Amino acid sequence: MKADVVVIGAGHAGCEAALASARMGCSTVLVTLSYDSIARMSCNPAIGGLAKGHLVREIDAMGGTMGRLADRCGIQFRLLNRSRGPAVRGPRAQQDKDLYHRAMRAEVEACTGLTVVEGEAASLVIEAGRVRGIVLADGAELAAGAVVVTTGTFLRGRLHVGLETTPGGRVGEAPSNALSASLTSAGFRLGRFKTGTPPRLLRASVDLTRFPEQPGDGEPTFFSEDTAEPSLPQVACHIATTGPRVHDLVRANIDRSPLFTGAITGKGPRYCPSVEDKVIRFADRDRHQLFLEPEGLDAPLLYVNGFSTSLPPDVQRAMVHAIEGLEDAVMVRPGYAVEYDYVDPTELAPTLETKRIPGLFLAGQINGTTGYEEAAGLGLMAGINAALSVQAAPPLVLGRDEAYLGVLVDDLVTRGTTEPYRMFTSRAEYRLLLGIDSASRRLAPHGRRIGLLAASRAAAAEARWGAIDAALEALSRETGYRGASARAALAEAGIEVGVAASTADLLRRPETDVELLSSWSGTLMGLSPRDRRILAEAIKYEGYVERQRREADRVRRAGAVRIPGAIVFRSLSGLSREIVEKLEAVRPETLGRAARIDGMTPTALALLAVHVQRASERIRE
Amino acid sequence: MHDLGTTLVAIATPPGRGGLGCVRLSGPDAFTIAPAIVRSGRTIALPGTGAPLFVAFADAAGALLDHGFLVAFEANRAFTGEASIELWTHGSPPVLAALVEAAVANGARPAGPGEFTYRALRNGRLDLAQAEAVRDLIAARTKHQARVAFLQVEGALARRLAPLEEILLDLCARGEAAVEFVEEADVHTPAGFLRDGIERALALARELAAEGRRGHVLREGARVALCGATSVGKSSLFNRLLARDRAIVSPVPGTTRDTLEDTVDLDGTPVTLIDTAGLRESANEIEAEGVRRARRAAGEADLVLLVFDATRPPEADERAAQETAARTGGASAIVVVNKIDLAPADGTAPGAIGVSALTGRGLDDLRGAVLRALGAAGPAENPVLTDARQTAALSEAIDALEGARRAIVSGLSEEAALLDLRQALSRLGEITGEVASDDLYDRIFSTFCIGK
Repeated sequence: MKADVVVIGAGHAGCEAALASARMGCSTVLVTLSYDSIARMSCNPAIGGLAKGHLVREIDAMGGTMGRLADRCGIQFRLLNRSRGPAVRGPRAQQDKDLYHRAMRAEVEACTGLTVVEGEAASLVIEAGRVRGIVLADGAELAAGAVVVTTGTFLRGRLHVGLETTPGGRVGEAPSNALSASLTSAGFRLGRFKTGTPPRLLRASVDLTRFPEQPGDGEPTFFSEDTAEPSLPQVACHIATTGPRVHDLVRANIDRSPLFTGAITGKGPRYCPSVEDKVIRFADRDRHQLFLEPEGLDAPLLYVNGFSTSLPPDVQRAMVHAIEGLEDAVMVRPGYAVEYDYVDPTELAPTLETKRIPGLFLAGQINGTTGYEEAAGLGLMAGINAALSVQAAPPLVLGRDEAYLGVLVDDLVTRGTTEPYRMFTSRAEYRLLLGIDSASRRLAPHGRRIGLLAASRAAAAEARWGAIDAALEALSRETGYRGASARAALAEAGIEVGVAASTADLLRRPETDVELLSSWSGTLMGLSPRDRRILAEAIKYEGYVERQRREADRVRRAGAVRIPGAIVFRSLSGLSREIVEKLEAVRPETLGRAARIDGMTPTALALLAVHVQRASERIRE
Repeated sequence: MHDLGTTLVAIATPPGRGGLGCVRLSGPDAFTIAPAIVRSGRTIALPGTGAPLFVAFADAAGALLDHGFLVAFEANRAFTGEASIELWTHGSPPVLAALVEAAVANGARPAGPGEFTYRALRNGRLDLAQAEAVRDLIAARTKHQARVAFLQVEGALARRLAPLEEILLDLCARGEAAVEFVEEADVHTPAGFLRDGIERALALARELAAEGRRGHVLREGARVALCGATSVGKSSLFNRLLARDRAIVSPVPGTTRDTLEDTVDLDGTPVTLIDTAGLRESANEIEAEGVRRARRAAGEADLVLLVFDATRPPEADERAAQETAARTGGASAIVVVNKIDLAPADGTAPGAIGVSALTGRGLDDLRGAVLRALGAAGPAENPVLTDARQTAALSEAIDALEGARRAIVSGLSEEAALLDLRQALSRLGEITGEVASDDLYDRIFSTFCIGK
């Protein structure tokens, strides 16, 4: 069998990669261990959130799939940071997990040029230093121009429940061990991470009326520009809290937690600690907040968000029963921890192609990330670049000032990571340029150019942003507040209209409500309420946005200086050994990328700049 | 300057004749060049033990010049961070010059000013602030200057900046946590914490900036011009402050024609005093030029002493002339009333300082007033920002903090102010040339229990 692109793994990264590659016209084969597990949500039943929601918006704006499906399977929509500025508002949607899996499977099945093969990818075929395909465990060979590996937590996966350890990538599913050996023998630096999941409760055994409710937004905010309204009935989540009795149980049994006995060596994410970690590290807190989240509309299970643990099942059961309101809850499945291999992402070029083996791309948790959204984002970019490489077209590398997708890739390949990497808005130094509203403006042209985004959507985005820009221009010239009624109404709202104040001037004032002005402003009247809000906020944050844009341009220009590929960092005098080691590992292509390497100092960078300049002078001579 | 591949040589001791002189070699070939210009009974294997070797020195032609010691430093122990040799001889300029010549004949290159320090910086032996401090230490003109420079070499500057940096890091961590972890019950940041923190940071930064101005005066010294009408005793006061007869003093009005300057150590601060021609209209071309120079000196000075005569009321034109002089440069001025020994006891106007250049009365008050006006008064122990680059970076940090305050006052969301705070932090980092390696997320996750 033969394909342009082979994708190993059908999780959130693998599906996006395979769909992107096939939609860009490459014959694509998606290899999965289990056809029933396509796009499984192994952990929490939600997609999006702060920064993560930004990623999903961007995936959608490029022509990816996750946003559309998360809208369709959403059973509760919340916009986080609603009261803050436009840059840090992040949409999130609780999901019907099973529906999401089925919706993605349907997408995959319906996609022209995409074939699913059930089987275990056992090894890579490498000829003359380049990947030529893969061999399955049954001996079948799949030739390919490019291979995208998205193994998630399956690479040498080990599950820990209490002191019991079993091989596995997810509960009830076998790990992928052969591929790990194949990557090791190819010379890749592998590391080990850990992640955990909480116990699941029988929904019917819990009286949810005993807990405070957390409802969704009245007016939902969606991920996709294509979505107009929710497809499913909307439900609430509920808030529970741990207490001293739960904490006592954790302390009394801490010697039975593999996290504390040393059985688990992989590093877990600090922002998603186990309940053991919370109790031991924050000993002064006598309670922690938990969320009871349905796993679907009619799903039998409840997910206890914030209660991830790998204590033995009997302890977990006692802990659940010690929570007020859960005294009679039936624990259907205990929480567990999973340890898995990842490849040091500094092995990757900014295209997500490995530097070691051309044609081989890595995406998802194998790159050291955590989260469905990060996985999907990496899958999308790897799928796109795998397809572009097969087509011998220039790669797509997004800038840090252009997309969270760009920040995600650049952070990983430049700085590497010492814990499972999750996106935060504060990782984006230009976050005021990367608000969710502008995703289509920033990325639709890219999506169109590479042939992934439908022409109709690209055209719609162009028309809409054209109109918004024109309106922004018009607002600074529009001065229509001479009429007595307008003045009176504005004065009543506390807005003093000065001499020849333009609509833009009025919008700059903290007290101005854009909807109030819309009754008089012809420009605002012609726009949707959403676009009016976007305009008003653009004016309010204009100074900061401008500043970020200038800074981004400056850094882009300064960082564009190329570092000769042949440079031997070790031979440069004056650099500390630590920095030399990092430079050798990352091998930055530009001074800009070198500047972002962890631990780089201005002095070391100045020195590097001098060496680079001298090296290029020598080359010219 | 950027060429690090060559071996540098230079005389390391001050110019002129002295008891001891030192020639320093630094660079990749230091250990091969040195044996070529010394003679010893034994074979010299460098770097050896690092103990001084007693040797004879030879010039480029091989003729023996002098005896002395050779001290070798391995790269990791040398000031420059590369293989170095110090040759200690008697401090005879021709001998030292001949040694440098011999080293050059054997492949070394004469070092430019600051080139050793530059290499120390490039080789990671010093950070930027330390390098600047070394430069200051060498150039120190008074003991106090030397001490401030020395403290900076020891990294005192970084320690002095630490509290401000700590406030900013804490604000960033808490501010980011508030924005980033909206649903976390553990993240509770009191209303107004950002604004309060910004005020505290601003107060601290302004204090440092004030110290910076003081540091500037310490390093650069200050220029203080004596201005006034003719025959008020400017030159006598000038001589008295210098404690020597530098200027010609006579009863004839207009004796001082050209400006005259000399430096005095005022409590550790180098102050250059400038005596000027008395201000009056004059048909004499030379004197008129002197008056023009006096005005220019007043305009360029950090401080002007406006000198009056206690025995006669200031005439209208005299006052006008002095006001003009004071206005020229916008420099601050102190009104000094001279000859109080000859005047009635109540003669001195409020705010003025009465002195007698003749008896020395009031001179301590004047010195104190001068130091205060220069911002140079204060506890001598404080290590301070002394460099123009450092003070500029600090003032940019202050601008950024003010921006953060404006963002909050005008109702923008925290992420705007946080941008300014990050900016302020990065400007602070520029002062020492090192980035704060503090991981924001470490701070957040150790302060708050995050984990939905």
